[in-house]
Formats: sequence, structure tokens, C-alpha cells
Amino acid sequence: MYTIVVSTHRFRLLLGSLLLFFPLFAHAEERTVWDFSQGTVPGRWTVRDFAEATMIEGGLHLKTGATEGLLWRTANLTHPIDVVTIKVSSRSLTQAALLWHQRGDEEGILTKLLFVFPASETPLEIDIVPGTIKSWDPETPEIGFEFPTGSDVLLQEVRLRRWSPAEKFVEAWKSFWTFDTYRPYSINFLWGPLLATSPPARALLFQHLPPRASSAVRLFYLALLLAGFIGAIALFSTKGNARVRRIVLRSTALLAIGLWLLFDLRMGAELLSYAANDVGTHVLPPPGKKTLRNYGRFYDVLAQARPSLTAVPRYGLIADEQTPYYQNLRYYTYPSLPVLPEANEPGLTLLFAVERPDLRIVGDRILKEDGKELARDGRLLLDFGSGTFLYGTR
Amino acid sequence: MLSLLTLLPGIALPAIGGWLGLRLLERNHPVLLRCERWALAALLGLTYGMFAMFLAHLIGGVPLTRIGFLTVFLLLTVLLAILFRQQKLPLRAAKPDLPASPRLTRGMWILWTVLLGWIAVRTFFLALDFLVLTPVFLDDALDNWNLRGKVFSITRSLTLTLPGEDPLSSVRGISSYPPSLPLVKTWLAALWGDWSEPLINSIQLLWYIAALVLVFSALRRRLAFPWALLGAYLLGSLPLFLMHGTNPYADAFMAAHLFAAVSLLFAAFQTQHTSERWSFLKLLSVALPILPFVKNEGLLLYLPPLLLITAWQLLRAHVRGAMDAAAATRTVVLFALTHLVITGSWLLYKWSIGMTFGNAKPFTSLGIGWQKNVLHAIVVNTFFEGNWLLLFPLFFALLLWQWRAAFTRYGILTAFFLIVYIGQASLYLFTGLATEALRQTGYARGLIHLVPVVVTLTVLLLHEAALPFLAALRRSDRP
Repeated sequence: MYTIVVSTHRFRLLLGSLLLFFPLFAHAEERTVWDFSQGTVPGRWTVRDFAEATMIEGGLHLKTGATEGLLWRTANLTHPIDVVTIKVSSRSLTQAALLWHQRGDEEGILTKLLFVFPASETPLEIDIVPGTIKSWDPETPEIGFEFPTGSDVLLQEVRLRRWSPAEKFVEAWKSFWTFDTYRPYSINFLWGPLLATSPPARALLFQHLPPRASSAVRLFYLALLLAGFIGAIALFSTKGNARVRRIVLRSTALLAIGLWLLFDLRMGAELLSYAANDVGTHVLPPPGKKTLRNYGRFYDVLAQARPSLTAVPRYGLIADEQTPYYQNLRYYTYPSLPVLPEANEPGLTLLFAVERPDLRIVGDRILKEDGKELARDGRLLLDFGSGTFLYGTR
Repeated sequence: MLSLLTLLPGIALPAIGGWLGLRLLERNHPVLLRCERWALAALLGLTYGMFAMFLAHLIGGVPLTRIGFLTVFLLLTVLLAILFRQQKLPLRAAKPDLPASPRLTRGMWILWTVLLGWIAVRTFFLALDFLVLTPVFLDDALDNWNLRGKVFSITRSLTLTLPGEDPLSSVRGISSYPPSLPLVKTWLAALWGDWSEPLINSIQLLWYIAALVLVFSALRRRLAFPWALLGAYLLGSLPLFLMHGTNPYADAFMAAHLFAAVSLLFAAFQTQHTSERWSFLKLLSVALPILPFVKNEGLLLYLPPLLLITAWQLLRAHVRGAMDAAAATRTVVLFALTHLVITGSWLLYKWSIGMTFGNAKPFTSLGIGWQKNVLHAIVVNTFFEGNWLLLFPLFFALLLWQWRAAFTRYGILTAFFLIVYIGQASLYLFTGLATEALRQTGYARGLIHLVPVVVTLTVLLLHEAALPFLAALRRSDRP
């Protein structure tokens, strides 16, 4: 009889606890949508410094001239904001900014967060994830956008989104197991497990650097502090009872070991994923189809171009300054040496252009986008596509 | 890939010379564990082999070719073998006395097999991918360690002007780094007969394995077998250390050499036996002066505090009566000689060529003043990223909890760590080197060099902390 009563009591306790958490599961994603595509402006917007701001079929057409254009409105939301999603199309790559007023700031002060969207004829959905940025105010009273000079965009929709605690918990768990990729900085540091709290935040986790998400390691420390606190209370209330002390120490030690092993598993899995990605993209595919990490097809192209590059003592390298191709080629083709255009070295019989889609071969010449001639009296030897080619002069 | 067959012979020849040298130093009082001796032999044998080659090339004009390298290595090995035979030393050295080890239960065996198996599997696949199957793409390998090895290999000489660089400034830049690691790659390429990327990169795994073995051995000398295994597991589980162990950078190389010196210093002044101490000191007299030839930090950051601690320990031992004046003098003379010859010749070379003494930047060019955001960057890198798992919170907590043991019994390790760590942190917090912390470059690399010491100290202090509880558990388990 006693056992049944205890079991029933425990069951009621468990059920009651679960019910307490029910509200967390009750609500799904909340959203506020400002739709410009139906021909009307949703709400009252303040528009400033645009050369043109007109409602057309499909959305709000915004054009700026010599100054940036701003548009903003009062938020009037019933929920805080986790992610701002805009549906927009643009004639060119655009670096715009999300604007918001941080409560506590002086009136009229707007904080901005830059975001980029590519040129596109059809509207693209762009997620802006403020994440853990210090200045972000999820209950901002005013929100808007800034577009740079010379932009021409069609704004179709603005969506302000909020996820429930349960959904955030699930996303946080998924993001704990979301891995970075092997990048040049990985030899200096590894971000480690991060906690993103929405699907867009998780999708963009390692695209913004530093990532706009909290480190999951904080939770490890929290767990250890909590265990220590509970242990201290237990010891205090039992006046340091030896058996309680053993239990407290054993439990704390097991927790610490468990967290270490979890962390080890997590990071080990990430490092192995680097190797798995490499095998899938570089080791297994045949020549011509290989890519490697953030270098794309470069090493695949290099393998094919190398016999030609190493057949001459020096060759011209035409690549953007901010790329690491010079240092790679200097090493891989040594003793043959790449020479940069500013060296103005005459007598080079071979030119290697890497990722220069602005260049084109016309007859026996290499021409830049503006029509200026870069080289002449030669011929295309090998074309790797995407503005990468070998050109030999006579 | 066939070139990988050359890796073992490439390590073995200098390692045999290293082994003979170590046995000659230990002489009739062997103090090293067998695995430790082989790890040190491979590590120091290769580096000293490169040092000998460096001198032979500069003084004797020996080219950096297969014949050149083999001549130097074989001469050295034969000379050491002759000395070994003259000393009539046994091939199988006596094992040092080690602390008793409890029989591991079946459960513990399974646990350790799983944990160390996980380390091994992970290391194997990462090494295979990063060192053998994919091209090197990291800056320092392309601009320094691999590039210089390739230049030495193709020019067959210690060429200081790197491709495409100005001859005057090149010497004061990357070429001011020690040539030891590039020369190892040159040696392997010479042995194979061609520059082979998988071959010259795969050697990097040696430093990582050596560090694991040395940490295990240092701990086994003081603690039971499971604790030593714990040390090897902790070091092997550190993600950033694994990255450095499986990529062609020089920081795992530095870490292994540094730990070799620190562990020998620690062991020398832990033992109560005069003959054992003398063996350790002789080994230290060769492990220490080679540090500047490993990486520039060896000269600037590590040699000075290690010499200071050695001097302090010698004085302390003498004052306490553990070491007589003759022994202390003999030690000082030995250290002075080895440093004069080894460190001295490298420094003389650097000075004569006009090389800088900083990290490819002149040391004198740094401004002084509080650097904003650096403290935050240091805290994030140490405690909130995936680099070191939970090592540093555990380490610092143990340092406080077991401060007595940390500053007395293990004072050598603690003093070394604190001098170097606080010294480096000060450079980042107060000078123009702050960018190395803000970008998480130099700061993280500095920790890579120190983690074998940190792991060793962590396990020792953990053992201290666990002792009362283990004893209580044993009492409560008794019927």
C-alpha cells in the first residue's frame, strides 16, 4: 500500500512538473509581416533621402542617389524580435543596414547592423540575425533600413519573427552540433559549440565572424556552478556529513567528467567532419571536379596548370590583391616564380589569371572590363572557367 | 604516396644517433622510461642532426643533399656507437623504479581502450587528410616552414633570400627563424630524391606523438599507470593541439622540445638520488640549449626562465645539502659549455648575418600602453572556445585549491608556467603585440607550447586533490 501511494505521489509530481512546462510548448513561431507586395504601404513609414520611393507592382521601389536613403517606422509589436527577414530584389550587390532604436538611447538615435544581399531579378529572402550583438534591442520601439548610395531595390516584405522557448531549445541543441568548416583561422582557434536560437541563426552560424551566438561552454560552467551550489547547501544542511560529502564530490566529479567527455566528443566530431568534407570534395572527386574548403577549385586548377607553370622560370600572375594565390603559387611552383603585374617585368611568356571574370580574351589580347588592354600577341592555352586561364605570349 | 616509405628510415637514422647519445649521457644510471627514451631520441636526434648538418654546411660546405645528410648522420652515429661500445653500456638499459600501479579492472581497461582508441582514430584520420591527402593551405607553412624546406632542398644550401623577396630584407624576416624544421623536411626530400608533399608533411605527426609519450612518461615517473594514461588522454583530447599535431606548423615541434626540457628539469630536482639527478642534468644540458634552434620563442620566452629556475634549484639543492659544491660546479660548467657551443653558435650566426631576434619583427619596435579588448580576447580564447575543452578552468581551479603542492612539490612546473604565461600576457596587454591576442594568433600558439606542461601539472594536482577521497573510498570499500 505504501509503495503504491509513493508511486502515485511521484507520478503526480512528475505530471505536475511537465504541465508547468506546457506553456513552453504551447506557442510556435510568432511573426509580424509588413507586406508591400499588395500595392499598399503597411503602416506609417518615415522615408528620407531617397531619389525615388514609390509603390509599384510587386513592392516598394527604392532608389538612392548621392546619399544613403533611410526608411523606418514605429514597431508596435506584440512580441520581441529574434530575426528580421526581408524579401528584396536588387540590380546589384547591395550592402544595406538594419536600423533600430535602442531603448534608453536619445530620441532619434538609430543603431545599425550591416547586411549584404546579391543582385537578383527575383526577390530573395534575406535573414538578418542580430543574435548576441550587445546593442540589439529585441523590443525596439522603432525599426527600419538604410540603403547605400546608388542602390536600386524592390522591397516586397518585412517579417519580424520570434520563436517559442521550446523551439529555441531545440535550435540550441541542433546548433550545439552544428560544425564550422576548416578555414585558415582554424589553426589559431576553434569557435567550439555555439547556441543559436532560431533556424536562420543556425543556418548563418559561421557566416558572420565572430558568430552571433553564445558559446555553449557557458552552460557547462553553469552546470558546474549549480552542482557546486547544491553540493554546498547539502553539506551545510548536513553539517558536513561524511557520506553526503562523498556523494557530493562523486556527483560533481562525474558531472565534470561527463561534460569533458561530451565536449571532447563534440570537438572530435567537428574535426573529423573537416576530414570528411575534404574526402567528399577533394579526395574522391576526379580531377576537374575537385574543390577544397574556402579555396574552391584553386588546387584542382593548380594541379592542371602546374606542368605549364613550372616549365618557365617566371610567369605573370593576374589575381586580386586580397587573395592568397600568390603565396600558394610561390610555394607550389617553386623554383618557377609568379610575378605580380606591379613588378612590370618584361619578357614574361606565360600569364596565369586566377578568378578574374572581369577579363576576357579577344583575339590575341586580354582585355579588362573597361576595354583596356592587359596583354597582347598571345593565345589562350588553357581555360578553366570563371576567369581562370593560362595565356601564352609568343 | 610511395614516398611515405621513406618516413621511417628518415626518422630512424637520426633517432638511433639520438638514442646512443641519450644512453651515453645516462651512462650507468639510466633514468628514462624505454618509450620516453625513444621519443626523446627521435625528437632530439632529428633536431641535433639538423643542427650538426647546419654547422657542417656552414663550416665544411657540406651540401644539403642525400650524400651530405647521410655523411653527417652516419659519421655522428658511428662516433656515438664507438663511444657507446667503449663505455661498455648494455643495449637494454635498466628500467627506472616506478610507483606501484594497481591492477586495472576490466571496466577500467575498456574505458581506457575506448578513450585512447578515440584519440588514435581521430588522430589517424586527421593526419591522413591534412598531411597526406590534401594540399597545405595554411599561411605559415606556405610562407615559412615548408617554403624554406623546399628552397633548401632545391638550392641544396641554406638559402636565406626567399623567392620573390628582397635579399636585404628577407634575411631579417622569415629567414631569421631557426632552420631546424625546414631542414628536417629538406632531409626527407633528399632521402626520397624529390620534394614530396605527403612525405615532408607527415613528419609533423612525430612531434605530436612525442609530446604524448613524454607527458605520459613524466607522469608515470611519479604516479601510477592510470594517472599517466589520464595525462596522455587529456593532452590528446585538446582540439587545438590535435590541429597543430596534424598540420605543418612549428608549434607542436616547439611544444615537444619545450616539454622535454621542462620534464627533465622537473625530474632532476624531484629525485633524491645524486646519481639519478646527475643523469637528468646531463640530459637537460642538451635538451635546454637546443630550444633557440627550434623556434625563436625558445630563445626569447623559454630559455631564460628555464635557466633561471635551473640556477635557483641548483642553489637551493646546494644550500639544503642535497648537492655538494663540486656537483653544483660540475653542473654549471656543463651547462655553460653546452650553451656556449649550441646556443652560442646559433646566436653568433644570427648576429653575423644581421637577423632579427624577434618573431620576424624586431623586438625593439613595440610600443608600451594598455591595449583595449585584449583581456576579453584572452578570456574568450582560454575559457569560451573549443580550443582547450575545460582544461584551463580545471587547471586554474586546481592551482588555487592545491596551491601548497603547486608552489612547493611542483614548484618548478608552476613557476615556469606562471613566468611564461604572465610574461606573455603582459606583452599582449601592454605592447603592440596585442594584435597577436586580438586576432587569436600568437596567444593561442603560446598556449600550444605550454599545454603539455599544463596537462602534466593538472594531473599531478588532480592526484593531490583526489588522494584523500581515493583513500576514503578504499576504506569504505573494505568489508
